Amino acid sequence: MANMNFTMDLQMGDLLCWAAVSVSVDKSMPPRRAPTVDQCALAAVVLPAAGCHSNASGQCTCDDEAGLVEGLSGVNRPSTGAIPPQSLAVINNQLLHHRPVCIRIEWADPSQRDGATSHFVVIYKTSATKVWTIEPGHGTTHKFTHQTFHDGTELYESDGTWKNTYMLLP
Amino acid sequence: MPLVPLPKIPQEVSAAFQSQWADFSDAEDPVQLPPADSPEYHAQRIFVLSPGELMGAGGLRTARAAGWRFLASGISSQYGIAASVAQRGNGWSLESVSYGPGIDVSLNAIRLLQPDLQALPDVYELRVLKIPSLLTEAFWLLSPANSQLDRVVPYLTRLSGIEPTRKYSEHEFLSLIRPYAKKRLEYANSPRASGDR
Repeated sequence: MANMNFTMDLQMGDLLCWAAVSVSVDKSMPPRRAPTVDQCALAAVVLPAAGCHSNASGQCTCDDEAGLVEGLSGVNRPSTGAIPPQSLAVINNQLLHHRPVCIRIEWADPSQRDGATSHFVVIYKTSATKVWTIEPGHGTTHKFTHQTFHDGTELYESDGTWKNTYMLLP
Repeated sequence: MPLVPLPKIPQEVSAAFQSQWADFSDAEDPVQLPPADSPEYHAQRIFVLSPGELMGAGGLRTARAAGWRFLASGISSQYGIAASVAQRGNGWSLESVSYGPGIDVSLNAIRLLQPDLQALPDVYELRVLKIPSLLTEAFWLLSPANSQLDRVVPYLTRLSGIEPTRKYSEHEFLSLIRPYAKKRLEYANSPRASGDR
């Protein structure tokens, strides 16, 4: 059982979950470094767009999707890259070493042959059988039985599946 | 009586919630699930739509039934908590418990909008429509008589141009949300997305 002191920042654009997760992870991990880059500064580095800045309502003018590996690299937090869902023991071990576990939720689209969409979220807490995730869209925590979340499909927000894990490296 | 009563909660759904509720009650959670037999719960039938389905000609009526959600205030708490029950194989299973600002918004939306919904001139079945990949949730007022009368009342969204708690016709809602669906599909189908997987 493990519980990280993890705070998820809300994403600064409707497509910036990758940036919100990257920046939140960076802030939560030792060694704490200042100044920590914000989502919009990260978007300016990762996205091809120029002139990214926060507007008056706190949203980033560069609102586009990118991969989590790019986001984590942009905050100097190297990861394993996308690997399959992991066991509870592996997740526990990461959390006990103050490394939140990033995951990709995939929503398959029945009307498309490919075209699955994604949302990046973080596992920040475990018990003997459960995992707690938090997401940057609305700041919602979801608690699942690890076994069903790991093995099942269409569990997350009624329709999403845990497809990939991104383990932060020491 | 403008709202058609919800379809009766299937006995197996209630039974799954009642029998598995205790497994998801953790004392250290900041919001505590009320007992499964509490009258506080709002039972909601959940439907989901993908971006591709939004772009299709079928509109809202292509939404897929995705189970039930039991929503309430936490014990001694102003905050909301939700338990989701879905069909697995031949049975029903309590699959997740959720809390946080998004759930609070959902609970407040029910409290604020229910009187409004009761005052509508047409007869509707109340459903919850989730478009998870666009981080959007809405009441879907389904007209049993005429799909042209369907209304959508979004209450949880990050998409600019969509006003929470405004009642949209299906056409209005689809016109507003389709550009976002299109953008998500373009990325999902692009080589850039393969780096995530």
